[in-house]
Amino acid sequence: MGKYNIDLKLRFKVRKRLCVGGSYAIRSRADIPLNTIVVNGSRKIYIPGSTIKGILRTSFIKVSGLIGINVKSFRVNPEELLAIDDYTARLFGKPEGGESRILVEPAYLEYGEVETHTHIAIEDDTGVVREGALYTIEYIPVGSEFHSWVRGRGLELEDIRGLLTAILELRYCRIGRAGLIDVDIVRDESRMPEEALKDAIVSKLWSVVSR
Amino acid sequence: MTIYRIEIELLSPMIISHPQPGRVLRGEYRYIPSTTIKGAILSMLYREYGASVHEESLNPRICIHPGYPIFDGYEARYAHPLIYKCKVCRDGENIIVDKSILDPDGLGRFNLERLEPPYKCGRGHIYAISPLKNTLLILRDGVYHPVEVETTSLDSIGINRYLGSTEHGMLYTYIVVAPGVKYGSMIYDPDDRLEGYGLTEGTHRINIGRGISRGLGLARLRVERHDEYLSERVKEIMEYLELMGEYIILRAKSPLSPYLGLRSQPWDLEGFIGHDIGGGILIPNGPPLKVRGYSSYTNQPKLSIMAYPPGTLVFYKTGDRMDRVAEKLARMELGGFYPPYNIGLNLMEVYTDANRIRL
Repeated sequence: MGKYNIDLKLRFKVRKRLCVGGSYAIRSRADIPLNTIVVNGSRKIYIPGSTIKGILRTSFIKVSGLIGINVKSFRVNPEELLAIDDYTARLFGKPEGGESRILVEPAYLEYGEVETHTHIAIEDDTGVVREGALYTIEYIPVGSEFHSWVRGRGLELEDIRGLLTAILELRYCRIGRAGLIDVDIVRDESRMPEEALKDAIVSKLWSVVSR
Repeated sequence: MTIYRIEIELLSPMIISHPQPGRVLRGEYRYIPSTTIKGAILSMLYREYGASVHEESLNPRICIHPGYPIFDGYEARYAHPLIYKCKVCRDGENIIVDKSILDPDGLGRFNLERLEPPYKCGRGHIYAISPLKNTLLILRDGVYHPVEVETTSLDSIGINRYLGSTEHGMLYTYIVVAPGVKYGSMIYDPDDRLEGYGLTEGTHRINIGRGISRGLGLARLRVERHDEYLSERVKEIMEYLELMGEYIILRAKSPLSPYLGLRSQPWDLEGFIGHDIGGGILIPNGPPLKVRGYSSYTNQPKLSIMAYPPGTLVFYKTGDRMDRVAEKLARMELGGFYPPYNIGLNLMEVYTDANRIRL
């Protein structure tokens, strides 16, 4: 069976305000700030590659039954993953030697228009605000867009079918703190081998999930 | 034979980790070890072009130098043991080089057994001198300046796939090199293997260090052939020999471990260089360190060895003609001074900083 290399540029659209939290409130002083990083002297919002790979792997596990793949574990703990050798581990990798054939890049956004919202917690029994439960969270607003790359190396057709199905499942996917995103593939900038597109399932998925 | 000049610009945070307990992962960041760069480049060539890089693993012939960070166009180096700082002087004015290594008379009087750091600086501040350990320096306008690689801290958690909440016990902190940092290095390819593997001049995308499938260590690699390198370097070394007479100081760029051990002194070079050269006296730049590695081919840790750290100085004296010695030294700088070769050890350079240091 042929092996393929693919490069997919993913476009993420924020449908419900999104916070991928960080530890240090640099500018906003929010209790839960956005994750940021300095790149060449300029502060940017940073969506780690591990966050994106995490939601992709979870999505793949969810749809694996549809495409006839048997997944043995939904665990994330590295010690528990060591003992697992299933399809997902062979595609996405596992600790101590299970090399991932999927490489996911981080996303950066300009630290421009962010929103800081104030939240409270309501007591279930009294229906009033819990004392002291007032906190602020920094968000990327609805309508924002960002991009990331997912690169597959040495993939078989079954892997590509699974990956595209997983990306399709990311429509209105939960990410970070109760954020929702919509994901598609930027067709013109991505690379999907012609040989792979001859497969009927890959071709159909590609036509739906790429724009 | 091809010599390349390469520049690695980080596009995402990078971590080249050390073994450590607990969940705080930090790593080496002041330089990128040769073997790390070699692994990253060969992995890229294998993944992107299907290159048969196994022959290089079994019979290493390509020598890749350590990557040192670039600041304002200057490539940094570790401070060697004869550079000090004055704790009282202001930044930019407080770096002191032991002058005895900058001229032949001084070196003639230099006595390793009676090595005494200076007790006062040029401005007269007494007993305020300390060595510069693990400090990176650039030599700009004849003066050394300390520099720091930009690092940052990343916190990471695991998310339970059933509940969507934080997984218990999965909180990690990474101390990483920040995106935007640039490192410079060189590749010496005597058999032109890399061209056969698909490496071309221009820009490539590589992944370095840990966590590459999760977006860490993404970098832009710029490759440029440097056909004039040898002739330019021979000229610099000749200038150095004219200044220093018969004395040669070599500074370690990589860890030093001739024949995979900490050899006793003196370190003989005559057999390798083929000219009249004696000495081989070492001033280590700190205690021996353990050099570890990991093979992405076998998925096993590599044998760890003890080595002298980068920045270590080795002193020699030659009675031979300068032009012949300069040419040989320039070639040995490329491929290494002692075996084993081409595995990221025993790379030294002639201390041509002496040509430019302002006294």
